[in-house]
Amino acid sequence: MMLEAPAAQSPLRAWLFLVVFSFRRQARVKQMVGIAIGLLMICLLLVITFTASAGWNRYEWRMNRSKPYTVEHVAGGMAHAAIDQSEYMDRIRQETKPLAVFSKWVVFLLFLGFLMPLFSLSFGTAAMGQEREGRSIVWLLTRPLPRSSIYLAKLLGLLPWSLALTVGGFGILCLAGGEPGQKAFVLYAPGIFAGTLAFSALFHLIGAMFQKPGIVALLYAFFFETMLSELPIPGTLKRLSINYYTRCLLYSSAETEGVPTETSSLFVPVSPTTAWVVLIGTTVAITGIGMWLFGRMEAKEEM
Amino acid sequence: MKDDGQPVLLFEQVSKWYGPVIGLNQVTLELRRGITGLVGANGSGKSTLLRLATGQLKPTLGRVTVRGVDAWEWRAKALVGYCPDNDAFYEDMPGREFVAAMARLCGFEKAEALRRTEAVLERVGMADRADRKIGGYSKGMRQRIKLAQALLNDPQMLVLDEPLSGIDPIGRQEMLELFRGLAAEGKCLLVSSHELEELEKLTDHVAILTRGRIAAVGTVTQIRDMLDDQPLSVRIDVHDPRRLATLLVNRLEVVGVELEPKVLANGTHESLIVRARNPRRFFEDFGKLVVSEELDVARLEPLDDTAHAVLGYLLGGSGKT
Repeated sequence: MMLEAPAAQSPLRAWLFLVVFSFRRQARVKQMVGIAIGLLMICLLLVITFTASAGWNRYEWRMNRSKPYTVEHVAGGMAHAAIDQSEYMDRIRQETKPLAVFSKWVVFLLFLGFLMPLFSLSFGTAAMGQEREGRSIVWLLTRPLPRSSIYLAKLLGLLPWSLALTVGGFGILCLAGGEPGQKAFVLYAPGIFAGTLAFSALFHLIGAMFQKPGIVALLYAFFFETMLSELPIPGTLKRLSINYYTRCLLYSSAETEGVPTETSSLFVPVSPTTAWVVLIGTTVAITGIGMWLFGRMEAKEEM
Repeated sequence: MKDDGQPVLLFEQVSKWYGPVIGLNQVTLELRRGITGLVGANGSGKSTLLRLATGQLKPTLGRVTVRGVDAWEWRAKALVGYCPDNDAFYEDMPGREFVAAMARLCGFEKAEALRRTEAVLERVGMADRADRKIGGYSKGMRQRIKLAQALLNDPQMLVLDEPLSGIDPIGRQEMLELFRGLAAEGKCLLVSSHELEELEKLTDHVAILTRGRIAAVGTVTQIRDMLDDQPLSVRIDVHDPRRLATLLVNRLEVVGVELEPKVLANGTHESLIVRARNPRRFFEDFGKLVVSEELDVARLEPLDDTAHAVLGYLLGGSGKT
C-alpha cells in the first residue's frame, strides 16, 4: 500500500487531538497522584473520625477548657450577665460554631495549606515532566505543531484532572464533615477552583522547565507557598504567593457567614475582586510565559 | 517528486555550541534526493546534526533549512520524517494505536490517519503484529514502529538515526530495500550510522563527521581519492628509530622523516615523525615492513585528527585507527 496524493494536514486539528491525547496520557500519571490520593484518604479518615466522635461544635469543649464563668465565684451572680455579653464570649461563640471549626482546621489549615498545592502539583508537574523524563517528548516535538501550542495543549489536558482531584478531593472532605462541611463546600469551592487554576499553571511551568520538577515543586510549595502564607508574619512578600490570594477569597466568603478569620490581624487581605483578578491574571500570565519559554527551549539531554 | 533545484536540506556555515563545548563546527552541507550516509564516531556530532536537521535544536551560528523553510519552524516538520535513535515510547500503547496517534498529531482527519497508519505498518512489515503493546516488542519491532511513524506524512526528507540497530539480518535486508524504494520515489534520506560498512550496502554517498566537522563528503571512491592526495603526519614509537628512518626514507609515499627532539637518558631517540603522501598505501606498506624487518613498534599515532578519522572509516574501522 502506498501513500498517494498529499491529504490536507490541519495544525488546528492536530492541536485539538493533542489536547485529547494529553488528557488521556494524564490518566497514566501514577506516582505523585498515588501519594496525593493516599494523603487524601488519611485526611478523610481523620475528618470522618472527628465528625463521628466529637463533632464540629466545640462550644462545650471550649467552655470546659477556658472556664470563663469561674469569676462568678468571686464577683457573685451579678457578673454572669456581664461575662455573657462580653466581647470575649462573643468571640468564643463565633469561633466554636461548627462551620468555623471546620473552616479553620480542615479548609484553611489542612486543605489550603497542605493538600491543595500537593494535589495541583501531582498532575501539574507530570504533564511535561513525565514526557521529558520518559524521553517520549520527541514524538511531540517532531510533529508539525508550534512548540508553544504543545505547551498549551498539555496544560489544557491536565487541567480537568487537576481540578477534579483538587475540587473533587475538597468535596469529599467536605462531605465527610457533615452539615458544616457541606456549607463549607458551597462557600469555598469557587476560591479553591481559582487557586487550583493558578497552581496548575505554575506547576506545569515548573514541569516544563526543570529536570526534577516534582522536587522543585514540592520545595516551592512548602517553603514558599505554605510556610509564607501560614505564618502570621507582616510584610508584602506573601503577596507573591498564590496561596495568599486564594486565602483572601476564602476568608471573604467565610466572613459572609460570620466565620472569624485572620483578616483583622497581620494578614491584611486584598478585596475579593482583586484576588480574583490576580489569580486569573496569574494563570494567564504564567501560561503565556511558559508558552514563550517553551517555544524557544531546545530539547537536549532528554532526547 | 519534483526537483525544483532547491536543496531539500541545507546547512549553511552551521555551528552549535553547548555552553563552552562545540557540538558542530561550521558545517556546510547540501542534500538533494537520494540516500546520504552520515558516519562518525560517538561524540563526533552526528546526533547534533540530525537534531538540527529535524528542528529540535537551533544553530548557534548559521542556518538550517528544509526546502527553504527554517528547520526550527513547525512548518518544516511537515516536510520531515524522523526516526530517532532514542528508544522511548508510550510503552502501554499498542503499536497501531501509537502510529495512529502520531498520524492524528500530523493533522490528518481520523479516517485518513487510520488509512495512513495501515499503509505504513504494511510497508514496514508490522501490519499483523501491531496490536500488541509496545512494551512487549523486540528491538527490531520497535525500530519498525519508529520508521512507520516517520513515513506517515509522506515526507520529502527522512532523517534516520541508526535505523538498522537491533534488526536481524533478514529484517535489515527488508529495511535496506525499503530505504532504496523511498529513495527511488525521489525522497531525500539522511541515514546515520557509526559503521561505514553498513552504510556502504545502502549508498555510495557519505558524509564523514569528526569532532563536529564534516571531514569528507562525497562518494566513498571520491573520498578515498581525496585522501590519497592529502599528506598525513604519523608518530611512530619504536625501539630503534634511526634504523626505521633509514628504511622509510626509500619509500615513494614518504615525503619526510624526522627524529623526535626528545632524547632518552641513554642518548637514543624514542620515536620519529613520518610525513606520508598517500596514507592508505603507506599504512599497507608499513604493515609489511614491520613484519619483514621484525620491527618493535610500540605505538602508531596519526597526528592529523581529521585525516585520522576518515582513514579509520575507509580502512573499515569506526574512526578509531
